[in-house]
Amino acid sequence: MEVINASKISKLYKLSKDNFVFALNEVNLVVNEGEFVAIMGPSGAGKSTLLNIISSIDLPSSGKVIIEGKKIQTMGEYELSSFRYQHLGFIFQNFSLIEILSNFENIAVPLTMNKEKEAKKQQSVQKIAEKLGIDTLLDKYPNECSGGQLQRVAIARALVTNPKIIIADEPTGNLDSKNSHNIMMLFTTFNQEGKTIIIVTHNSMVASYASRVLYVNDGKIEKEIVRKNKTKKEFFNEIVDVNSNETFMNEEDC
Amino acid sequence: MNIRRFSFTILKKEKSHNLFYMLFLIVSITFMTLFINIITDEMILPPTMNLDGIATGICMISLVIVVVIGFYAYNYFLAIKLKLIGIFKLSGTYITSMLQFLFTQTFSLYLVCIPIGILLGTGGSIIFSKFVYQISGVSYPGFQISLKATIYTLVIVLVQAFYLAVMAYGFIHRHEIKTLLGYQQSKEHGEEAHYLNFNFEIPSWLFVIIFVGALFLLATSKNLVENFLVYGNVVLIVCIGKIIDKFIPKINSYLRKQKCITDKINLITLANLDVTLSRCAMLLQVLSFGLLFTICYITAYAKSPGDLTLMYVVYLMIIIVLSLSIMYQVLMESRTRNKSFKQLAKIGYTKKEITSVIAKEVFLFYLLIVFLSTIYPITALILFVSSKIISAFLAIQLITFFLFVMFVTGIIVYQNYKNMIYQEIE
Amino acid sequence: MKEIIKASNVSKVYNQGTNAAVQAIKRVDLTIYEGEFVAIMGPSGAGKSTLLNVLTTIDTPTTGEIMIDDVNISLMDEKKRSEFRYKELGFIYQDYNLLENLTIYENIALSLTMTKESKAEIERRVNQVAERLEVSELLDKYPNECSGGQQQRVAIARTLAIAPKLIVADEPTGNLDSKNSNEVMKLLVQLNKNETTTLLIVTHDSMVASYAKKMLYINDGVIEEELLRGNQTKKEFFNAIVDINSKEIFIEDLL
Repeated sequence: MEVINASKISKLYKLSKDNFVFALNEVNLVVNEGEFVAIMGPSGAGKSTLLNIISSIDLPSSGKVIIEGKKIQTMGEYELSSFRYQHLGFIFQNFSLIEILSNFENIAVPLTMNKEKEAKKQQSVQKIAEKLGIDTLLDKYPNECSGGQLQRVAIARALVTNPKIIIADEPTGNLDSKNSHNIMMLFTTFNQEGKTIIIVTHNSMVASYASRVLYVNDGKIEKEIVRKNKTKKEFFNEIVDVNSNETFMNEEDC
Repeated sequence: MNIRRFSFTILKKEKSHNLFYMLFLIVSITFMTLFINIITDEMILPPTMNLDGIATGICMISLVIVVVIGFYAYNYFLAIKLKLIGIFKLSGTYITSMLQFLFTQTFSLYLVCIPIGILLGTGGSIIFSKFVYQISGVSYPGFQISLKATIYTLVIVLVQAFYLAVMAYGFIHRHEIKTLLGYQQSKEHGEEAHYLNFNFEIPSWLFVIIFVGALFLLATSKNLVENFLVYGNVVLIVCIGKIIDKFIPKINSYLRKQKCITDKINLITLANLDVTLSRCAMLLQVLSFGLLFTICYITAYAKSPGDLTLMYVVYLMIIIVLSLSIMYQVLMESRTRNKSFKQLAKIGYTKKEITSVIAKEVFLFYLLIVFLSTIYPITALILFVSSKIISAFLAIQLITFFLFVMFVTGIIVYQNYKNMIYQEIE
Repeated sequence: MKEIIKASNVSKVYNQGTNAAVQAIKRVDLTIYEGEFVAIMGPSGAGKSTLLNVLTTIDTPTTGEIMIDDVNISLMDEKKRSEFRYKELGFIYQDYNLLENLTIYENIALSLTMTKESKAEIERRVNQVAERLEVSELLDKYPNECSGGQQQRVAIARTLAIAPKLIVADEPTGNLDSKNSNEVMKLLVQLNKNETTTLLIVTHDSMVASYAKKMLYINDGVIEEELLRGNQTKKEFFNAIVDINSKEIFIEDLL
């Protein structure tokens, strides 16, 4: 079942009076339910732009975006808010937590602002915090936590409403390998539970957790590789190859 | 209700921002009350000197200005909540809930400021009234709280409140999520292609020539006061903005690259100064205009003690409000420099050198704004005094008061800025 | 070979004497020789950045001795230490740390401004490194008008402008994509080879570390492993590094 269907998406920017640039050029992308997709590509190639557009944060200059069978562009503000609340969870590289609120309050933000009952709120936050292993940190504040812990708080906030689709932009960008691994294992767990996950990353190790990797370059999806039955290590090597074909070629230089 | 409580929780933790917002609101409502009392209360001035149409007009304009100050303060109040609103939007919050959140914060503080402002304004009216009665030699009949004035004040306060609500709605509605979250736009790309830009530029030095040239023309003209009042202000409005936005930056970057590239203190000072100045450009325009206008007006029309006292009040208001605004702007701007100064310390700037950078920036900033905003008024006053249109005593008072306020706010800015950075680099 | 930095029995404890005392690095012995290219890796919180800060005089060790160019750092006053930092040491950080109110030209020139070079010399060197890093067209722009990759190149140009003896980099390619990362690392390798610049890099990225000649793995405040490239190809060294860093990750091939 299709969860996201983006057709002929273009995003146009203006460099100067006569100089236009396509950040995205007629991109087509279909994501099915339960998929775990990684979007990679050089900086400025359009990965984050694509992610923003297929997740309703941004509007394309032209093209259509359909999420869970609903046309995003024609939704009114009220409908869009409701839709985001129920179906989408967002995770960013820089955690985007509110410093003056405790971890509990941060995770509870979507529920508080949607007027959920206090008891249910407590329950939901407790549940997701336990799942992510941060239930002991609920009374602490962001500045008392490490990077890995903060990202888990941010993930908890994204998932506290139990959305079906998780959108993440460089979720492990500020983390070391051990923490990155832990976060990606969490994502794997969520994927196994049936959530659809779409992440943007430039880290091949991170991308190897996905089942499908798209390589975006110059505003287009240049290459697509699927994991199918390969081992994780084989998939990782294939991803590394796609991303950096020059790296090991000039051995004499090193 | 959850949202209301949540709103308060966050409000309680943003103390310094709230303080500034409330300070501006209180000043705004105080002057509102004062001016409305002056306009509507027949007993506020001795019967021999009722306000003429023009004086009333001045009061109304001043009224509008103080109401606008409220909006200005609110704009900043909102600006620090960008990330918060971004997170709300991302989490799928309804616009009504976000509005409820903002309104709770906005109006709870507003409701506290109203009685304080009205009280101070009423006190100010009493002092004003007593003073005018005294200098016109009529015995003071005592102050009666005018029902009319109170009602008018409350009405205007409500109007202001309504527009604050409109601003809040616009704020939520207007900003896109990605900008709210401080999303890193790919900087290789320019603006999103929405509209065409016009691209013709008047050379900036032209404005300097107009500025200086007009001053000479005015100084040698016959109807000094009227000319300065009308044409002087037109020139200021046209030129000051451009001089600050275009001309000074050019000089600044020339100085930096050609003269100060080997001077590690002045390089940073000038770079920071450039940004601070551009942030305050509009305020400076208003300040120059306000100064020249009130000074010329006082000279030309404020003949009776009543008018004079009133104009003095207006003059004070303009200076206090604008100085506070400039102080606020500069401190807000300096807050963004924490990381940069930390970096300077890391690469080898000593604490003494950093203090020097900050001190020079604040000093040059205030020097420049005092110079730009007073060159016309001081020239005008000198000419007025030598033509005996205004007393030297009054002229000196007016300028001294302005310089004094600038000096005091300059010191406050310097101390705060310095301490903020010290905290960061230690 | 000349010793550039020698750390003997160095420890760093934060919040000493309180309940929240944390020993970030524990009795580390480390010598960096002139011309070496060393990568320091390890989990977050293991002590990498602390070690870096202590070795480069930004922070002082709680115990132990650090000699830089045969001079004991603790005997240097603030002025001498500052001097060391801006004359001999080049820093490259993950988040570029460019000064946002200065133009790109001024940012690059800043390190030279500090060493009181003449204006002409500054101009010559800035233009030279700007060309080398391909940022010449950006010289009159401000950092916020440049992309991440461009900013990082500018940060590197700034470091190169002083032709430092020792370059210390904390995640230099952290925010860059593979292509840009590759370019940056090749440049650093060149510097190390042709100009005998000593390089000390802290990184999480095994690909980046594989450009070095020696890898130190820090865990829990101690140097757990030391890996020399020796005669291995870059690819072999890379695999060895990946293995040390991700011992747990590929075990579960059930995924």
